[in-house]
Amino acid sequence: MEAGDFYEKYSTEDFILDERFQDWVMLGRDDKFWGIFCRKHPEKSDMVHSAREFIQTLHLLEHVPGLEQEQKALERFGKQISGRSGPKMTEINLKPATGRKISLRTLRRLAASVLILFLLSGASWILFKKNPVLVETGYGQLKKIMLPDNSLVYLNANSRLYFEKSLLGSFSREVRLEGEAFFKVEKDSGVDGYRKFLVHTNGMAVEVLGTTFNVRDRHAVSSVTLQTGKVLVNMNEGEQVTLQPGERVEINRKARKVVKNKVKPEQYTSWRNLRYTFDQTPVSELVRIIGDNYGLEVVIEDTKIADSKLSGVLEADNLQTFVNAVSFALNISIRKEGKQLIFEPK
Amino acid sequence: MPVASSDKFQEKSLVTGDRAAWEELYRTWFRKLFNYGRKFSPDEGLIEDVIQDIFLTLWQQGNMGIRSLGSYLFTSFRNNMLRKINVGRQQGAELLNDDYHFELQLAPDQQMIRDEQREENSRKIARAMTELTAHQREFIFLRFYQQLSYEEISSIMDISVKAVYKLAARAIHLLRRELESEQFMLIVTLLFSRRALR
Repeated sequence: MEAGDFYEKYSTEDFILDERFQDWVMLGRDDKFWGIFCRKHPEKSDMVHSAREFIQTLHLLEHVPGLEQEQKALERFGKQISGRSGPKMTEINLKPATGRKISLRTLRRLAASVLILFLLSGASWILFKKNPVLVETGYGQLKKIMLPDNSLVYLNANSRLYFEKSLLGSFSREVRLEGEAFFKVEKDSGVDGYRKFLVHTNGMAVEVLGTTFNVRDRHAVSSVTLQTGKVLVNMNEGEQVTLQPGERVEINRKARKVVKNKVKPEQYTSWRNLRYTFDQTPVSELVRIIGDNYGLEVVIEDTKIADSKLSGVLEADNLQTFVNAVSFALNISIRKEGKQLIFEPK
Repeated sequence: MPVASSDKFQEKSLVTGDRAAWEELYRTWFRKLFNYGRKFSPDEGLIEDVIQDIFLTLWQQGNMGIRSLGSYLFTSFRNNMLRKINVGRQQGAELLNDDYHFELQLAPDQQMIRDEQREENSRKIARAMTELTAHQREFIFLRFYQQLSYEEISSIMDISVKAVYKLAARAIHLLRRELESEQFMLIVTLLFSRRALR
């Protein structure tokens, strides 16, 4: 019996479960074998097709640590090993000894044929295959992410950023955002002019070439605040808005309302430096920040407090500092009860 | 990301023991294990501690007797992770093999051109995914994301290869049941509508 003849009797599910078949779909291994098999058994082509499709639908999310998080961990590791003795492995040699010398010409020929084989075999596909990636922040957490195209993203608390990249680092300049993020997009020259960068949220897509801007998508309200450059906001209904620096657009999906106005961008972007800029900001905005970024509900025991406004710059890298500053500025007392923050007069 | 392809470089770095190579090794594996760990727990501090611990052990003991660095790191990371999670949860109780959390999500579609059928299929698979056991989900992750072989998975999850096959069959069957049922419904409606036309 020829090797692999039992595949004739396979069902779609059998194909999905077969390790060799999986390796073909995921890594492009054994391309030739499966090509011949499909040609020899056209009656199996439907099954092979749906088995392939099924495996490809198992497109799983990747959680990626933030840039600073990774750096800190690395430094911690470096510190710990510098004080200790290194690995004792003088006696073990995992690599076979390279006794024989190979001439440069043979080496070059070898490299060329390996390259051709690699390209022909379809295995190169694995290098270009896009893998999904998720970077996520919890309450009270902030992450800085460097994308493969050198664009920077500051991800605010309680937010998620999705994108895809290949092993070689190729990246389509397209991301999806839930929550809030500040983008510093680098210009990227493609074959025909600059390549655009796209940020999708539930209600819109922001299109840019190279700029700095803030995107927020929470509670069915999306907003974009532009600091420098120029952006184009595409709404779901096909409407478009262009923003100039210092402009902000807010799209309310529930109320079906679009508002564009002039703002001080720092007010919407300074959070990335753990700084909150307030300018006659109503307490309701504080309530929103505490809810979105720290996951706490605010209970206000006095209408006077609810009506007050706040101006100034508040620096806080944790909830305690934030609460201390607010209670000082508003001259109120704040206490925490479970998942609630109670604002009351002193 | 296949484990095998990067092992060569990493094994060399362990032999020479030079610092830059160690840092490179740490960086690569920090990302891989962080991703794996996030499926067990959202506690990123805990995940970082576990990675730190197993790397310190590796640094101190060297790679004596380690056949595949990838399998070794995955296995010891998983064991340490489960132990820590269990200590934090309930003291004294023995950890049952399938009594843990393993979260797995499909990636949202990035495509600009929408394929309704494909989207519908992913939605169904995502729904069915929540009904799998932690063990079944972990298998899906190790095989279809990490692209480890059935044999490697058996040693990482500490079950026999036969058990891995059983796990796989059950998981795939459950995921596909959702898709099949819908297709069957479609055929039925087609038959009915034909009859109505007559």
